[in-house]
Amino acid sequence: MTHTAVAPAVELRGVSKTYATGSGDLTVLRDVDLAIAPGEHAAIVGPSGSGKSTMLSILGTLDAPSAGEVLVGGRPTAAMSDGERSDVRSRSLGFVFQQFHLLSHADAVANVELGMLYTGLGRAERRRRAVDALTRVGLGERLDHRPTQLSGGEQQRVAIARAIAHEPAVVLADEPTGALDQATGTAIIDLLDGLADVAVVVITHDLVIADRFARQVRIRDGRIEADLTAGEATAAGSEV
Amino acid sequence: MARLTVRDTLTTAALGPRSRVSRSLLSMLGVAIGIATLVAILGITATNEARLRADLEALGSNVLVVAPGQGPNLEPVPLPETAPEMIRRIGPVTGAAAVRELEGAGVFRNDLVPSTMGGGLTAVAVQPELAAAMDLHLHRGAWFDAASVTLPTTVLGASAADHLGVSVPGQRVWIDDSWYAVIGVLQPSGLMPDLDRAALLGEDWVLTGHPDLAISRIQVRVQTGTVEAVRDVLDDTANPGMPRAVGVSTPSQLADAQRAVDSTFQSLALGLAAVALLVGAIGIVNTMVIAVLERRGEIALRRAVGARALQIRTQFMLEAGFLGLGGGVAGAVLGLLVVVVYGTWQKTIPAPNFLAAGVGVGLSVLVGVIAGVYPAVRAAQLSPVEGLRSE
Ligand SMILES: Nc1ncnc2c1ncn2[C@@H]1O[C@H](COP(=O)(O)OP(=O)(O)O)[C@@H](O)[C@H]1O
Ligand SMILES: [Mg+2]
Repeated sequence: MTHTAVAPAVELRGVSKTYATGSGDLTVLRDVDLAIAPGEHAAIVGPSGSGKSTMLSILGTLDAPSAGEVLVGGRPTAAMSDGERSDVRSRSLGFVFQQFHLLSHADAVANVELGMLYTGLGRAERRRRAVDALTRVGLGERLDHRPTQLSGGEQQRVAIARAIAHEPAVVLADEPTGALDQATGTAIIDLLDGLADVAVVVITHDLVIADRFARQVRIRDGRIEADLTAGEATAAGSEV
Repeated sequence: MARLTVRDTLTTAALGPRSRVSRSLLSMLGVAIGIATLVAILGITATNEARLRADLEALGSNVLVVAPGQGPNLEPVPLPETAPEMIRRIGPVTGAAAVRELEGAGVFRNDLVPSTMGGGLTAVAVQPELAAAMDLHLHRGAWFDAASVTLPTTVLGASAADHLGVSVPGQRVWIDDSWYAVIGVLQPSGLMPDLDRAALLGEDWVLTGHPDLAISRIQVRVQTGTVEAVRDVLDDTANPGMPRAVGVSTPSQLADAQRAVDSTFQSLALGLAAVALLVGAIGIVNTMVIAVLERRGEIALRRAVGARALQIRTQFMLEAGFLGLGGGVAGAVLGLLVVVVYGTWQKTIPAPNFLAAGVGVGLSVLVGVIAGVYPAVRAAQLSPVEGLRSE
C-alpha cells in the first residue's frame, strides 16, 4: 500500500464470502486480495461457479464480504451507511451486466440518464452527458430508440453508455458478451477495452476474451489461481 | 448531495404507473368508486336539503296553523269569531284566513247522484283572504270577491273539478243539498294539498245557512324568519281569555323528519364509501406488491447506479400515491357529475360539494401512500444482487 502513491480504484483485502445454505455453509470466495489501479483494464476469468459474479458484486459494494475489506478509491466501505455506499456507487462505479438491465419503457437517452439520476447532476447536464456517452458508443443516431427497437449489441452499448456517462473510476462488467453472438461480443469487448481514463474489470469465462486484456486474473473455486500480465498469460496457456 | 430534486422524484415515481396504464387504471377503480360515492352522496343530500329549504321557503316555512284546543276539563274550546281579525293585526303576519269544514256535506255533480256516493270530496267554507295568504292560484275562472262570497258560489280544487266533470266556470254542482255555481278552479297547491279534493264555499253565504259553524283552523302566513316570534303570541291573540285552549303548529316538524331520513341515508352511504376506499387500498397494495416483484431487476439496477434504500422506498410510496391520486380525481369528477345529473333529473339546482371533492382527492393520495408503505418497504429491502440475477 505504501508502494503506490495513488490508491487503487477498487481493492479487495482478504475477502471471503460464505453463504449459509440448506446443506451447510458454502464458501464462494476465500481470502481474495485484488487491487485494480486507476485506469487499469483487467479480465477476471474462471469457470462457471468459481465465484466471479460474487467477487464483482463485492467489488461493486452491492454485496458485503463475510470477511475482509473492500476499498473504493482507497476508502474502506464496511463502516459506511447504506446512503454513503450508494453515493460511492453513483459517483465512482459503473456496471454492465449480461442481461443489459435496461428499462423497456424508456428510450436510450432516458436509460443512460437513469444511470446519473442519483448522482446529484442536474437534468440538463444529465441529458448532455447521456447524448455524449451514446455518441461515444456509436449510438448517436439512436437516441430515442427503445430497447425493443435495438439489437442485443446495441442494447449492451446503451448499457455501457449508462456505465460511463457519469465518468466513474471503475466500470465493472459481468459477462458483458454472454448474451451476444461472437462478432457482436468482440465489438463490445473492443469498446470496453478502448475506454480511456477509467479502470475496467470484465468478468468472463471465455479465455479468448480474457486474452484481450492487459491483465488476467484467473480464479478457481473462489481463490485467485493466477494474476498475469498479457505476456505471462500467453506463456501460461489457455488451460483454465 | 445525492438527494433527488422534487421534480426528479415525482417523474421517477410517475414512470411506473405510466408504463402499465391498464393495470394502473384498474387499481385506481376501488378508490375512484369510494370517492365518487362520497362526493355524490354529499352532493345529493345537499341538493335535497337545498330544495327542501327552498320548498319550505316557497310554501310553508312561514306558515302557522291555529286550531281549536281543549279547555281545563278536556272539553273542546272553539276559536272566537274575532280570532282571524285579531291575528291579522300582529305586525309580521302578512295574511290570515279561517277555514270551516262542513262535515257530512255532500259534493255532487247533480241532485240525482245518491248521497252515499260522495267520492271523498269535502266542502269547506273559507274567507276570501285565504287566496292571498296561502298563495292559491286559479287554473280557470275567478276567486271570491265581496259579492260572490255572499252567494251560493264555489271554487273547486283541481281534483274535485276533475271528479265532478267541471272544466269551465258557470256549471252548477250540488253541494250540501243545494245548487252552487262554479266560479273558478284552483291550481294544485303545495301549501294546502287538502284543498285539491275540496269544494270551497264563501264563508258569508255558508254562515247564513249554518250560523253556528265553528272555525276549524286559521291559516296564518308570516314574514320570513318571524315564525318563532309570532308563534309565541298567537295563542294569546287568538283567544285572550283562554290562550291555553289554542293549538298552534308549524310545518317545520315535517322538515325535521325529512332531514332525519336524509341523514340516515347519508351515514349509510358514507359507510359504503369507506368500504370502497378500503377495498381500493387493498387493490393498490396488491398492484404494488406485484409491481415490486416484477421490477426486482429495475430496483436492483437503481441500487447499482446509486439509489439509496430510502429513495427506493420513497419512489414506490409515491407511485402508490399517484394511483390514489388518479382514482381520487376520477372519483371526484364522477361524483360531481352524478350530482349535476341528479339535480337536472330532479329539476332542481344541484349543490355539488367541491370541498368534499377536494378533501376526497387528498384522502385518496393519503390512502394510496399508506397502501404503498408495505410494498415500498419490501422494495427497499430487496437484495440488489438477487435482483440483478433475476430476469
Ligand atoms: N445467494 C447465494 N446463496 C447460496 N449460494 C450462492 C448464492 N449466490 C451464489 N451462490 C453460489 O456461489 C457460487 C459462485 O457463484 P457465482 O459468483 O455466480 O459464480 P460465477 O459468476 O463465477 O459463475 C455458485 O456455486 C453459486 O451457486
Ligand atoms: Mg457469473
